Amino acid sequence: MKTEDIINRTVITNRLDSITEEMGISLEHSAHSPIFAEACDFACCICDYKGDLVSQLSGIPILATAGSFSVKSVIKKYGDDIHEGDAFIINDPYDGGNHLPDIGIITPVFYDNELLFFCVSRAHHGDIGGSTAGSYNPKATEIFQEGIRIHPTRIVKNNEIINDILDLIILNTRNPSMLKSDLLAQMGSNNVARNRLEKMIDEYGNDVVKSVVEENLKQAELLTRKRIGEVPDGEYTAYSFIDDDGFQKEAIKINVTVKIDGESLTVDFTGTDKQVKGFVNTSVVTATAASGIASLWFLGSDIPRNGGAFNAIDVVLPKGSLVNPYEPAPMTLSTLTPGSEIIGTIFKALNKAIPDRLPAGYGNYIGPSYYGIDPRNRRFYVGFSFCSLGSGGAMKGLDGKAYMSPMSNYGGVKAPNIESNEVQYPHITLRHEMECDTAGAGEFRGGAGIDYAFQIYDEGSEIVMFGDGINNPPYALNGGKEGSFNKPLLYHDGKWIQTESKEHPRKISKGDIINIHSAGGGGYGNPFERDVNMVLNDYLDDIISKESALDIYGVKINDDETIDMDETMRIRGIM
Amino acid sequence: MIKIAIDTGGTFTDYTSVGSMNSDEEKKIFIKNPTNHQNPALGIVYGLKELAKSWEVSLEELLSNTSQISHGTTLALNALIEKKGVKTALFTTEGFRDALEIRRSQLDNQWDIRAVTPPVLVPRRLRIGIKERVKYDGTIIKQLDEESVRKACQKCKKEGVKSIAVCFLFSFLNPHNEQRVRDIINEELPEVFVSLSSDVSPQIREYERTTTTVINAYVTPIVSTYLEDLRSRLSEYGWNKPINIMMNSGGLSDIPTMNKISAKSLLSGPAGGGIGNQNLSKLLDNEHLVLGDMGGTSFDLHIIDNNETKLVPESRIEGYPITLPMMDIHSIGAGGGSIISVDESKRVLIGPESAGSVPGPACYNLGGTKPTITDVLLVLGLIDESNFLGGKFELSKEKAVNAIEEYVAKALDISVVEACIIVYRVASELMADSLRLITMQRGNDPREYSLVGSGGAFGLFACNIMDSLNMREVLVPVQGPVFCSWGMLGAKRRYDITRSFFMEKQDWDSDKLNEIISSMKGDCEDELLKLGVSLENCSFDLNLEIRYIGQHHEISIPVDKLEFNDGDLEIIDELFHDTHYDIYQYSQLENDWEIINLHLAGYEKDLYNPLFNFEDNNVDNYIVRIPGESFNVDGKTEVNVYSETDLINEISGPALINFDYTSILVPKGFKSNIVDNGILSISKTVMEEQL
Repeated sequence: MKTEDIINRTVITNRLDSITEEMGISLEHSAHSPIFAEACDFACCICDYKGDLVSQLSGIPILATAGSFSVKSVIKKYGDDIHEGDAFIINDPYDGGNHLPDIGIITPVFYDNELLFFCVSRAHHGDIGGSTAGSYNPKATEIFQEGIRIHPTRIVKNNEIINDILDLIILNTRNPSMLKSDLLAQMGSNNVARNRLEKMIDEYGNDVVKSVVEENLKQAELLTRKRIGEVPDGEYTAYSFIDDDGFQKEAIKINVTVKIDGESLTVDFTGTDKQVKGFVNTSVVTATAASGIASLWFLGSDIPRNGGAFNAIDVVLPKGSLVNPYEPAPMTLSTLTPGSEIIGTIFKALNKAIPDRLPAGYGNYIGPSYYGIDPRNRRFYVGFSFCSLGSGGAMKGLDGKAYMSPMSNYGGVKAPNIESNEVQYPHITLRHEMECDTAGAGEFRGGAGIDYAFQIYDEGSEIVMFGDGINNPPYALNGGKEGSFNKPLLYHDGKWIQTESKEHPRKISKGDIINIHSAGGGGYGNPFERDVNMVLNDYLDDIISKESALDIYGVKINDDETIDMDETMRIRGIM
Repeated sequence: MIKIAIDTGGTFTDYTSVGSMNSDEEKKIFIKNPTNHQNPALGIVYGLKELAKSWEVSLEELLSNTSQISHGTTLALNALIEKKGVKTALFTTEGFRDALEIRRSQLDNQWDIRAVTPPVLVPRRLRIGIKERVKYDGTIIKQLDEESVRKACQKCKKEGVKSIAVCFLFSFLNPHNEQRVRDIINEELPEVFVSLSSDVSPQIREYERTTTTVINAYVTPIVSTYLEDLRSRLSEYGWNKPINIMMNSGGLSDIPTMNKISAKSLLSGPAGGGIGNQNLSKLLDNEHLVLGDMGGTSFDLHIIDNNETKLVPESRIEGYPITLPMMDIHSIGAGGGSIISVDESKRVLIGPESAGSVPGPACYNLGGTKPTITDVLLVLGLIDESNFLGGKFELSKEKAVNAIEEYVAKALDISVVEACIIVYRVASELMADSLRLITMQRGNDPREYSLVGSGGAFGLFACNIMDSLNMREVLVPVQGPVFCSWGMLGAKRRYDITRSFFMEKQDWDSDKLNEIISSMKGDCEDELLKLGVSLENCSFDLNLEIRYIGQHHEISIPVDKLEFNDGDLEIIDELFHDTHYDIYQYSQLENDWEIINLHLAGYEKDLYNPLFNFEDNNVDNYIVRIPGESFNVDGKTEVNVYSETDLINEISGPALINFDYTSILVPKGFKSNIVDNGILSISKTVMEEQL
């Protein structure tokens, strides 16, 4: 009955994926917070009874596996005290969370009194308290200033919400009714999954489902290890810098050594700077997830992203370093910075093992959160600059993709439409377009950065600028040029200024303009090798100027928009 | 009276007709003809003349006895797939011209770092910013700068642009600026087609709206030219009623609508198949059907689950989001005309290029030199060269062999027959995979489904695919070869209106609600009349789109009335909370909700669309050929024809059953039975006997 086994395995595996997808749709469609209704900043997954990741909704890469850590923390704390009809809540990055704004709801699934699965939804909430609205607090020095910290806690018992706990949490935030609705949406989404899982087990039986899940984890690990075995043994080291932590002026070093030994791969962060005062430290969960996804991008797109695959990637996180700080260091920015920079550094190291599999540098994130009372309805709002995304790096054979950075979010965040933003928030967008001469030049060029500007018409609002990449642009590969820098500008009091990358809340006035120039991606290969017609097209499309065509790419463009081939060949040294 | 449906595919055009001439008894007749790509409208007239011959009358007489013509066309989809739409420009609000390219930062496959996004249909140099601005409430805050529009027009003229999409921010709330731009373009460039986002998809979210509008601008001029040509040609034969066009939604519309928004016909043909599948499910009382339709250019799948067929409000075609309601159809580029090639790494590739019907497969002997699936089937002996298309078409086996030799066998250094066998297997697996995608990958168990085989060549693959997925049975209806056009006979003329209407629960006002519903109903009735529907035959469905205040997405609540009173508030209240709970597993009884939109659909009541029967299509024409040896496609066995018998109720495999327009392979271990005198049902006789 081999055919039957194959069908069972395929159907059950794919049904698990379709269930996590349904969870995602359910959250997206029923949520109140624009962050998850419009930008889909959430992750849904199913874990097995041990907490290993079984199926994860395609979504934000850096959140992959985070759910698994949360479940394991719940198991560690509650052990046998997990019952049918329970649900748990968690956000503590020192125990199973990635950063405070992402609240996880975890619902166990029992069948015939046996614990089989956990449904997990983790979603980024607009405000979870702390000293700054929006809960990105660049001047926090302790986690307590970043918001309410929730250790794994039972929030549903016998299918009834424990309102004492719920109220305790929501009343510590700035928008309790929205948070409450959205936590209910998360619990609802988990129950959607629980019902579907129970129906599936009814159909196939306990044992079949369990053996399929085990087999999937085993096969994913085997495949991952096989791919690691194909990489030359050795130690590959690379480093990069993040600008600062909002306090020290010196750049902060991330040092990574990827060790390949037969079928084992270790990402070792020894040599990375010590933990810092500001909120760019990273939780164990985020550093581990970043290491796992970076390695898997390198190893192959066909490896299922489940617990088996992630188990094959070992990670060494020195205690007291940036990537594994002592409590109570703050760390809210970690899912963006240094999450993305960690991925980039691992890419650089792996590029030494086998070149040309991975792209040049992606832009890092920068942008403000903004909050106040919306003059249109007198309601409190808090929003984030999801539209200030930078662009992707080039790789051999391919130009970089515009607007696809940072790497931590690669292809997973849905940047909101401008129209949705303007309905939600009291501002008007002035520009949102690719910018000329920002793409890192090369035989293959980076994606062009974005020029994003919006004007606030609320009288008393504040903004908090946070991010990185002002001093460290996306890296180039193989003789290409670096991408452009992030550049956050503010028009206030009749003049333009460039802001810091990590600031205190700033009062702004009606009519102020925020203008983020996001980074273009890094280039690959010598720009003189770029096909002359592609250079001309880039010029006609206003991605590069005539001057850049000449100075950087060595292509002379005539006034009638044709190429002066003789001159071009002379400059490029072909004659 | 007679009803006629015409389904133009990439390779063949199918004509299906049901009804009675004068007061004769009812007849059901279908025919199949090659699609004329050079002159599609002329091709249709020719095909209709053929159909008239089958009715033994002239075309004029047939049309004077015809009450309705429904038509599905693949023109729009083909233009998009082959990227052969007209040269298109895009005018956007200044400062926002890149939405099309930056794609809201989304990727279909985020784990494959080399995966590329679909090509951007309008290059950046033709995406032109226009000075104007409307804000979130529909107020114009920057007047349209007409000079910048005229300048943009000049640039388009210089670049030879044939079509312009206009998508301004918040135009769905206030279309004034877009409309004014259309006027200016009409003055400056009277030959250029203009598509406004406020016409095509008037809803919030500019990225999805822009993509939909651009695709509409890209394909409409092609469709429109054709339909106007068709209309005028048919009027020469006395047809002056509307020609009803099959829409993505499964409803029928008309030519004036298509001239504006032919993006509504992107899935025109397959939607006919979907409606047919739905009809079949009802007629057979079978709740789980998958329709596999193998045409000349593509293989389309449609699933019926628990008798339900879904419309999706937003779908992706070729990787582009399209915000028009569509039937849920999955399509791959594997049809009878798909060209076979071998790449450098010696992999056998099928499609996506198609030979169409002209020049068509090499065996058509019309100048095509490249091998196609049809050529392979001919060489394998699965297609009867003497009776192809009911003998209308002479096939050249020699040309087929030459093409396969030249492009496949040589490249792989194997014999022609071996090459054919490999292609046959690769094609089977390709189709089986796409079936897995819509069943297993969506968590539906294929073992619960019957596979409906339709289209010319699918009967030769269906049993293998059914076997590979352990499906229940294969069903091949008599009208299988023209299934999509049969579906169109059962499609309803339909008009949908969505109107923005804000009303919070606390402001419930049934008079206000009734007033707008009655105005919508009036508009809907006007449109239905234009489509040629009589109003006493119409049903109306009203949906209220409601959400909790503060939510971003609404749920559509069907209500069974078109008039409300004050007492209905309580009913709606309960209905909304309950529906919300059912879908999302929570509700908030203490929270208020708001109505956002009203949606009214008007359509014809259930239509008569009977199964075709064997005797209707002249059962004597069927031949059953029993190959001498078991037919395994194993590389050794050539198919031999040994005997001919009449169609009998039970046929055991191995057998090849030939209809006029299709052949069905019943492999060893399978048997075929006749069901409802119109359907062959093929299932396994032995379970898992093989190794």
